[in-house]
Amino acid sequence: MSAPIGLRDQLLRVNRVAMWPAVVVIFVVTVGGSFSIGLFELMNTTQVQARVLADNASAAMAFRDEKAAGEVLETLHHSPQIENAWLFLSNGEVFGSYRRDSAAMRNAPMPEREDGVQLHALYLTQSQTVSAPGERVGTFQMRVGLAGLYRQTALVGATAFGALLLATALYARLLRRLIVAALNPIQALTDVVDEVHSKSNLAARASGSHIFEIDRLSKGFNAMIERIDERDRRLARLAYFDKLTGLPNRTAFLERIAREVSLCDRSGRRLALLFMDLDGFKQINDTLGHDNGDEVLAMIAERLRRELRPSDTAAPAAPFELDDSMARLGGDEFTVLVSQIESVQNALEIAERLRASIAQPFVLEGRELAISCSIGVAVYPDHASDAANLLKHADTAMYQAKRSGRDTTHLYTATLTEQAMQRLEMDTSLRGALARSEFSLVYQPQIEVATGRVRSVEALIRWNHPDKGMIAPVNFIPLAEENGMIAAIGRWVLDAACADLVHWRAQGLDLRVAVNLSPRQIQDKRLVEDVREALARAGLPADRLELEITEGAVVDDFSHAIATLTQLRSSGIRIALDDFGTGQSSLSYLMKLPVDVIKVDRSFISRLQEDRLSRSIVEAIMVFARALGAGVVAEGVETYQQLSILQHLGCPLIQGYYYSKPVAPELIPELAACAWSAPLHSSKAAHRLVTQLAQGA
Amino acid sequence: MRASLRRLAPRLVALAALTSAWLLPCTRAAADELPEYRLKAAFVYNFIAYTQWPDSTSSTLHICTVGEDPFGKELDGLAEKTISGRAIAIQRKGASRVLGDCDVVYVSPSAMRDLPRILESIKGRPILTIADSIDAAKDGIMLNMAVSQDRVTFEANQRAARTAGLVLSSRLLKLATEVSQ
Repeated sequence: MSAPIGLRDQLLRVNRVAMWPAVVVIFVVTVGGSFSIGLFELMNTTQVQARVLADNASAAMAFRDEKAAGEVLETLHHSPQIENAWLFLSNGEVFGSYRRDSAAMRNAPMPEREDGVQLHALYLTQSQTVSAPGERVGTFQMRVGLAGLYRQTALVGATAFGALLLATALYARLLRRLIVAALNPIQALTDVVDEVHSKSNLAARASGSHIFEIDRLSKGFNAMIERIDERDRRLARLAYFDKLTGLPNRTAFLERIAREVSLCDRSGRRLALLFMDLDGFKQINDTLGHDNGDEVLAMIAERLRRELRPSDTAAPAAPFELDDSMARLGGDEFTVLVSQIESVQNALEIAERLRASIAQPFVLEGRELAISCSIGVAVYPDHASDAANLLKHADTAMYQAKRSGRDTTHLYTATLTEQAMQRLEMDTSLRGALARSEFSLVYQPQIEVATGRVRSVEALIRWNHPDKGMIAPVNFIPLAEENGMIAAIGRWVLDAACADLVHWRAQGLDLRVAVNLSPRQIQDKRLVEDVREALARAGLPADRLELEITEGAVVDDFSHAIATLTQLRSSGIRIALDDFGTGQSSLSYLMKLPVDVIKVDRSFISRLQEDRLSRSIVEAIMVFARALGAGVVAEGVETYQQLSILQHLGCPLIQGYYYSKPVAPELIPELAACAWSAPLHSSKAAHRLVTQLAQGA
Repeated sequence: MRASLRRLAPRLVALAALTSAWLLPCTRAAADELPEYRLKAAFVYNFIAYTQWPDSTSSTLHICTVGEDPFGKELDGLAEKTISGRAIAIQRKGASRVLGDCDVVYVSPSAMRDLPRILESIKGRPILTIADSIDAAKDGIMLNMAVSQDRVTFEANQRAARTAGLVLSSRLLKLATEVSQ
């Protein structure tokens, strides 16, 4: 399709096209009419002339007076269009003839029998009976040239043509002027549309018109623009503000950062971005409910507002717009933009003040609630070259504050980004690790002190990273928990451990395998099913599997954890409580856990020799375990002395480097075949050592 | 008058041979080949045609010849015609001078001597008088024919016609070689 043409041109074109037929019709009618009228008149005239002449010549003919007839014929020279004329006697004889001087010599035609006219292209002939009073005496016939008529018609045609030409020109000129005048309101309306469309100027309004349709169009357009304007404003409000706290949202804040950054570029001053995240807000939501969580968020927003209100702020003195200097980015993330600061130190001071403000207890439903937050600070242009990076780096710094123990402020450093990059890289490779079969299991045996036999092995996962080599679980399990890979990895561990166990059992080894569960796995609703399926696939009795959990893994959702563990235990699976003694849970709380084995944390074992308190704790743990009817395993036993003391304390199972580090599954049959010596029974020195320690304590 | 008769004599001989053709209008014969009296008969007819009688109610128009009839059968041809719806009747009066019932009286050259008496007898009556003798118009004949250069001409005596109560058409008068008022 060709480019659209203007309405004015289109109207002019339509008019031109529509005008021509009329012009042609007028021309044809004028010329044709003129010719017809001319011809009609000529015929009338000719007929009258013929009659008059016939009458005049009748007597001359009756008396055969040729001279008189000739005189009568001569009167025809008054009519210039008559070229020739003849008088015929009744017998057809030519009685008289007339020839105009300019006309050609012509032979007399045969006389017509009938009166009347005969039309030819260039002339007409008129016949008229000549009658004397008594009788018919002959015929008069004349030839009348049409050249005059044609000339006259041509003249009329030329005149009409000229007149029409002039009329058309005047008409076109007038029409153009009228069309332009008529289209002016439409042009104006189009301009307004352009203004609205291309410049997004919603303030533009179309003016009214005296033309009804255009007036309606203008009014309708205005009404439409007003509604769009209103809707835009409403959407802007929705789009730029967080409903809960009334603070600007992420979108508004990003725009604000961009504005401030460009202001800084001009003023040469600094801009700090404080990225705040509440510590453990999920727990508040989970334990107090989302409504209360929302209320806490609103209170925090209010507290931030108060803290940042310029009148209350001693330093920095630089004023800034309160409302969009803060924002809630979503969830429990708040940001504060501090413009026009002198130094990085200013920003840290403000962050600390905010943190202190948040640390004040909140009162919710009459209860006091302590909330801490972690704040990351990044400063433009020190830490970032643009708005997007400033936010990203403040986020990174906040994350670092979390990792370094929460409830703190962290200033962005470039290394943070490197760590973040590494994490990202790790994250990516972890996601493909299962598919690439980069995981493997190693097993550390647990030795029964009484018999020196391997009773159980703890499965420990290893990640054989293609670039970084072997990676310990502590370095990737937290990441797997974050990115959700933990569920898949957990299932793989279960299956692999079961498969190995099946293999060993085939060799006649009656072992138990212990598998670690991460906190996320315990929260996983499919856990029980997964475990039962793994056992069923391997065809193992349930009591050959031991699941190790930490107390930290159950505190997040205690009731659910209890339910899950109870279910598992009811199917015969043993539950071990790992790292016992390091958590912050109360004993009453721990007592509720359905547990078969308690694993004493390595931190107590490592200090057994020099620390009497550790020994007492281990003793107490064993008493506690016995009260629960649970077994005890000592972890991280590395020295002979530790082993001796534990044996003395009556610890039934030992795990640690003293006996064996974690080994590949192929080596387990060999280890299991050994009968491990029980040192205290054979070594007096050891006994003495233990006694000595007991006395020293 | 005799001289003219003599001059016409050869033609009269030829005329006799051609009598049968005279009433055929379409005959392609040339005018000057026509016999003189055939032409004169036609003139008589046309004279009547261009003359208006004060009273023309009777259905028949009577043409009377006085004296020796020079027309022969040519005049009889007129009897077959009508004029303005009136039949034409020919009466050859010869020497009779009883002309009261005539509408047209032709005085032949042979009766010219008796002309004054003839005119006297019809004086005051609407009778058209025709002759073809020299000076007959001067003597009181209303329309007098002559032959000149092979053509038949005539002179008119309008005064005589007016006295008789007849009106000669102006067209007729226009063709006359001479009109006496």
